[in-house]
Amino acid sequence: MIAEYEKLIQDCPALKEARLQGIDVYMLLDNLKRTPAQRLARHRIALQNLQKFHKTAD
Amino acid sequence: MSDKFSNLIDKLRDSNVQFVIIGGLAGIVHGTTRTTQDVDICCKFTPENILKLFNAIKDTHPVHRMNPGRPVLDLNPVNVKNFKNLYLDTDIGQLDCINEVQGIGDFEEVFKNAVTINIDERNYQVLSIDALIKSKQSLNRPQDKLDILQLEAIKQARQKKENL
Repeated sequence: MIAEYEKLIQDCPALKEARLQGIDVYMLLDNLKRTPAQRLARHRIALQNLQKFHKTAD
Repeated sequence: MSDKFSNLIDKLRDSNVQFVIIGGLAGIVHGTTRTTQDVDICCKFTPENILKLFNAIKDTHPVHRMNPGRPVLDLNPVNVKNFKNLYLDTDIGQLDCINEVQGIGDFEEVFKNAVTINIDERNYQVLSIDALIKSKQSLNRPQDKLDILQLEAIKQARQKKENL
């Protein structure tokens, strides 16, 4: 998987630039393999986790 | 979809409100990895459509989140004509409804620049990646710059690899 992603990054200047600017491009590429519904489901989980931390901080 | 996507979006869709998903949520649908706490949509601001929207979400106790005192949203066929945008908070999340997208245009233009995306066997109109990039370039806020980096990377990765 890492070799596949690295090859893609080498072939895509925009992916290289994103990585240079601090974007986790492995996470991005993993995300692209998901369906929109799966992406939204993971987003909701991430948001719920953030909200739990916010409540704890309060 | 209801628990997994956004109850607000489902409510609008079930009520046949004409809208296009824009902003952070559109980016997430296309594959960006950021999180957003609100739902941004571009709507047709005709009285009929906005009254449909109001009826769809009124059980969520919407209030005008940008107005002092956060007045309750209470629309009728007369006052509905006064609104060009609605910035709302509800029991189930924040909903921003705007009549045009900077860098793209009014609802008709936004609709032309939308793609149909199937989520859990239901179709939604979502602003295309190209239009999203264009609007974010026009807005040019720090968050938009990060989103553009991701969206350009997504676009290019998909051109190189079909299964992404």
